[in-house]
Amino acid sequence: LTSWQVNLIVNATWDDTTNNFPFVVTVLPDSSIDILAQIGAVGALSALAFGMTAILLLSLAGMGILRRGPTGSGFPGRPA
Amino acid sequence: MRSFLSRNLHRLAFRAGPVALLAVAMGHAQPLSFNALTGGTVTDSCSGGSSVTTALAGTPTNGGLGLSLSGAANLPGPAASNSPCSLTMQWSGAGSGTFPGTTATIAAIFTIGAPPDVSINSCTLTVYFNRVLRLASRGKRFRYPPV
Repeated sequence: LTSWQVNLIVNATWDDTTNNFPFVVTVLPDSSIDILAQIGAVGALSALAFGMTAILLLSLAGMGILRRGPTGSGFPGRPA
Repeated sequence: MRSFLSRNLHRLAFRAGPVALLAVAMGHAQPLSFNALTGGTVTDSCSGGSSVTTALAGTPTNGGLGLSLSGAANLPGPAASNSPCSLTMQWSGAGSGTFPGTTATIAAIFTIGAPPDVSINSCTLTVYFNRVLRLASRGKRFRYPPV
Protein backbone atom coordinates (compact mmCIF):
# COMPACT_ATOMS: atom_id res chain seq x y z
CA LEU A 1 0.00 0.00 0.00
CA THR A 2 1.37 3.38 -0.98
CA SER A 3 -1.71 5.60 -0.88
CA TRP A 4 -5.35 5.56 0.11
CA GLN A 5 -8.22 7.90 -0.64
CA VAL A 6 -11.85 7.94 0.44
CA ASN A 7 -14.48 10.21 -1.11
CA LEU A 8 -17.97 10.88 0.17
CA ILE A 9 -20.01 12.66 -2.48
CA VAL A 10 -23.50 13.98 -1.79
CA ASN A 11 -25.64 15.37 -4.60
CA ALA A 12 -28.51 17.67 -3.76
CA THR A 13 -31.04 19.96 -5.40
CA TRP A 14 -32.66 23.00 -3.87
CA ASP A 15 -36.35 23.20 -4.62
CA ASP A 16 -36.51 26.71 -3.27
CA THR A 17 -33.52 28.98 -2.83
CA THR A 18 -35.37 31.82 -1.18
CA ASN A 19 -33.84 31.11 2.20
CA ASN A 20 -30.77 29.37 0.80
CA PHE A 21 -30.40 27.00 3.73
CA PRO A 22 -27.23 24.90 3.64
CA PHE A 23 -27.25 21.20 4.18
CA VAL A 24 -24.65 19.60 6.45
CA VAL A 25 -22.95 16.25 6.08
CA THR A 26 -21.60 14.99 9.37
CA VAL A 27 -19.36 12.00 9.93
CA LEU A 28 -19.07 11.74 13.68
CA PRO A 29 -15.91 10.27 15.21
CA ASP A 30 -17.95 7.77 17.24
CA SER A 31 -19.72 6.42 14.16
CA SER A 32 -17.30 7.48 11.37
CA ILE A 33 -16.25 5.78 8.17
CA ASP A 34 -14.21 2.74 9.11
CA ILE A 35 -11.99 0.61 6.92
CA LEU A 36 -10.47 -2.60 8.22
CA ALA A 37 -8.31 -5.00 6.25
CA GLN A 38 -9.24 -8.60 6.87
CA ILE A 39 -6.57 -11.10 7.69
CA GLY A 40 -7.51 -13.67 5.09
CA ALA A 41 -7.49 -17.39 5.77
CA VAL A 42 -5.26 -17.99 2.75
CA GLY A 43 -2.65 -15.56 4.00
CA ALA A 44 -2.69 -16.98 7.50
CA LEU A 45 -2.38 -20.51 6.17
CA SER A 46 0.49 -19.51 3.90
CA ALA A 47 2.42 -18.02 6.81
CA LEU A 48 1.71 -21.13 8.86
CA ALA A 49 2.78 -23.35 5.98
CA PHE A 50 6.01 -21.39 5.58
CA GLY A 51 6.75 -21.70 9.28
CA MET A 52 5.99 -25.40 9.39
CA THR A 53 8.11 -26.04 6.31
CA ALA A 54 11.04 -24.17 7.85
CA ILE A 55 10.73 -26.18 11.08
CA LEU A 56 10.50 -29.41 9.11
CA LEU A 57 13.59 -28.60 7.07
CA LEU A 58 15.54 -27.63 10.17
CA SER A 59 14.49 -30.85 11.87
CA LEU A 60 15.45 -32.95 8.88
CA ALA A 61 18.79 -31.18 8.65
CA GLY A 62 19.41 -31.67 12.35
CA MET A 63 18.69 -35.37 12.13
CA GLY A 64 20.96 -35.69 9.16
CA ILE A 65 18.25 -36.97 6.89
CA LEU A 66 19.12 -34.43 4.24
CA ARG A 67 22.73 -35.60 4.21
CA ARG A 68 23.78 -37.32 1.05
CA GLY A 69 25.07 -40.77 1.79
CA PRO A 70 27.57 -42.81 -0.21
CA THR A 71 25.92 -44.05 -3.35
CA GLY A 72 28.74 -46.10 -4.84
CA SER A 73 29.39 -45.69 -8.50
CA GLY A 74 25.74 -45.27 -9.33
CA PHE A 75 26.26 -47.20 -12.52
CA PRO A 76 25.96 -50.91 -12.75
CA GLY A 77 28.95 -51.16 -14.98
CA ARG A 78 29.49 -53.81 -17.50
CA PRO A 79 27.73 -57.12 -16.98
CA ALA A 80 30.02 -59.89 -15.92
CA MET B 1 38.05 -25.34 10.16
CA ARG B 2 38.79 -24.33 6.59
CA SER B 3 39.01 -27.93 5.47
CA PHE B 4 35.73 -28.69 7.23
CA LEU B 5 34.03 -25.85 5.40
CA SER B 6 35.52 -26.76 2.08
CA ARG B 7 34.51 -30.40 2.52
CA ASN B 8 30.99 -29.67 3.68
CA LEU B 9 30.19 -26.49 1.84
CA HIS B 10 27.86 -28.12 -0.64
CA ARG B 11 26.01 -29.92 2.16
CA LEU B 12 25.66 -26.77 4.21
CA ALA B 13 24.42 -24.87 1.20
CA PHE B 14 22.00 -27.67 0.42
CA ARG B 15 20.57 -27.53 3.94
CA ALA B 16 20.70 -23.82 4.61
CA GLY B 17 19.57 -22.68 1.18
CA PRO B 18 15.86 -23.47 1.46
CA VAL B 19 15.67 -22.13 4.99
CA ALA B 20 17.40 -18.92 3.97
CA LEU B 21 15.04 -18.53 1.03
CA LEU B 22 12.08 -19.01 3.36
CA ALA B 23 13.45 -16.45 5.78
CA VAL B 24 13.95 -13.93 2.98
CA ALA B 25 10.47 -14.58 1.62
CA MET B 26 8.87 -14.13 5.02
CA GLY B 27 10.92 -11.01 5.67
CA HIS B 28 9.57 -9.41 2.51
CA ALA B 29 5.96 -9.79 3.69
CA GLN B 30 5.84 -6.41 5.39
CA PRO B 31 2.60 -5.99 7.37
CA LEU B 32 -0.01 -3.54 6.18
CA SER B 33 -0.07 -0.15 7.82
CA PHE B 34 -2.39 2.74 7.03
CA ASN B 35 -0.76 6.06 7.85
CA ALA B 36 -2.68 8.95 9.37
CA LEU B 37 -4.53 11.40 7.18
CA THR B 38 -2.35 13.87 5.31
CA GLY B 39 -4.98 15.48 3.09
CA GLY B 40 -8.55 16.30 4.05
CA THR B 41 -10.44 18.52 1.63
CA VAL B 42 -14.01 19.58 0.95
CA THR B 43 -15.03 20.72 -2.51
CA ASP B 44 -18.32 21.47 -4.24
CA SER B 45 -19.71 22.04 -7.69
CA CYS B 46 -21.78 25.10 -6.81
CA SER B 47 -21.04 28.76 -6.92
CA GLY B 48 -21.88 29.31 -3.28
CA GLY B 49 -18.83 27.52 -1.95
CA SER B 50 -18.74 24.88 0.72
CA SER B 51 -17.14 25.14 4.10
CA VAL B 52 -15.74 22.77 6.65
CA THR B 53 -17.72 22.56 9.85
CA THR B 54 -15.43 20.08 11.57
CA ALA B 55 -11.97 19.42 10.20
CA LEU B 56 -11.61 16.13 8.42
CA ALA B 57 -9.67 13.61 10.46
CA GLY B 58 -8.29 10.15 9.78
CA THR B 59 -6.51 7.95 12.26
CA PRO B 60 -5.16 4.42 11.93
CA THR B 61 -6.85 1.70 13.96
CA ASN B 62 -6.09 -1.92 14.86
CA GLY B 63 -2.34 -1.44 14.68
CA GLY B 64 -2.47 0.10 11.20
CA LEU B 65 -4.81 -2.50 9.69
CA GLY B 66 -7.70 -0.06 9.70
CA LEU B 67 -8.70 3.55 9.35
CA SER B 68 -11.30 5.68 11.08
CA LEU B 69 -12.42 8.79 9.22
CA SER B 70 -14.55 11.65 10.45
CA GLY B 71 -15.41 15.29 9.79
CA ALA B 72 -18.26 17.54 8.78
CA ALA B 73 -18.97 20.03 6.00
CA ASN B 74 -21.84 22.12 4.73
CA LEU B 75 -23.00 23.38 1.39
CA PRO B 76 -25.20 26.43 0.87
CA GLY B 77 -27.75 26.46 -1.89
CA PRO B 78 -27.13 27.67 -5.43
CA ALA B 79 -28.44 30.91 -6.78
CA ALA B 80 -31.14 29.24 -8.84
CA SER B 81 -33.65 26.62 -7.82
CA ASN B 82 -33.54 23.08 -9.17
CA SER B 83 -29.82 23.33 -9.79
CA PRO B 84 -28.07 20.18 -8.65
CA CYS B 85 -24.99 20.63 -6.51
CA SER B 86 -22.51 18.14 -5.15
CA LEU B 87 -20.44 18.22 -2.00
CA THR B 88 -17.30 16.08 -1.89
CA MET B 89 -15.48 15.24 1.30
CA GLN B 90 -12.12 13.68 0.56
CA TRP B 91 -9.78 11.92 2.97
CA SER B 92 -6.37 10.76 1.75
CA GLY B 93 -3.05 9.56 3.05
CA ALA B 94 -0.18 7.17 2.60
CA GLY B 95 0.54 3.66 3.78
CA SER B 96 2.98 0.79 3.62
CA GLY B 97 3.10 -2.98 3.51
CA THR B 98 0.86 -5.47 1.82
CA PHE B 99 -2.73 -6.46 2.53
CA PRO B 100 -2.85 -9.60 4.66
CA GLY B 101 -5.94 -10.89 2.88
CA THR B 102 -8.06 -10.27 -0.15
CA THR B 103 -10.89 -8.33 1.47
CA ALA B 104 -11.50 -5.29 3.63
CA THR B 105 -14.65 -4.27 5.45
CA ILE B 106 -15.92 -0.72 5.12
CA ALA B 107 -18.58 0.68 7.39
CA ALA B 108 -19.90 4.17 6.69
CA ILE B 109 -22.21 5.92 9.11
CA PHE B 110 -22.93 9.56 8.52
CA THR B 111 -25.84 11.96 8.77
CA ILE B 112 -27.12 14.55 6.36
CA GLY B 113 -28.85 17.51 7.90
CA ALA B 114 -31.01 18.85 5.10
CA PRO B 115 -33.52 21.71 5.35
CA PRO B 116 -37.02 21.24 3.91
CA ASP B 117 -36.21 22.87 0.58
CA VAL B 118 -33.37 20.47 -0.24
CA SER B 119 -33.68 17.14 -2.01
CA ILE B 120 -30.79 14.75 -1.54
CA ASN B 121 -30.42 12.93 -4.84
CA SER B 122 -27.65 10.49 -4.07
CA CYS B 123 -24.72 9.65 -1.84
CA THR B 124 -21.63 7.94 -3.20
CA LEU B 125 -18.72 6.49 -1.28
CA THR B 126 -15.56 5.67 -3.23
CA VAL B 127 -12.37 4.09 -1.90
CA TYR B 128 -9.06 4.06 -3.73
CA PHE B 129 -5.97 2.07 -2.79
CA ASN B 130 -2.82 2.99 -4.73
CA ARG B 131 -4.99 5.22 -6.97
CA VAL B 132 -7.05 2.21 -8.04
CA LEU B 133 -10.80 2.31 -7.40
CA ARG B 134 -11.70 -0.51 -4.99
CA LEU B 135 -15.20 0.47 -3.96
CA ALA B 136 -17.96 2.63 -5.37
CA SER B 137 -21.12 2.42 -3.32
CA ARG B 138 -24.06 4.61 -4.30
CA GLY B 139 -26.95 5.30 -1.99
CA LYS B 140 -30.58 5.53 -2.96
CA ARG B 141 -32.39 8.69 -3.81
CA PHE B 142 -34.29 10.10 -0.89
CA ARG B 143 -36.03 13.28 0.00
CA TYR B 144 -36.55 15.32 3.11
CA PRO B 145 -38.89 14.96 4.86
CA PRO B 146 -38.91 11.17 4.47
CA VAL B 147 -42.18 9.68 3.28
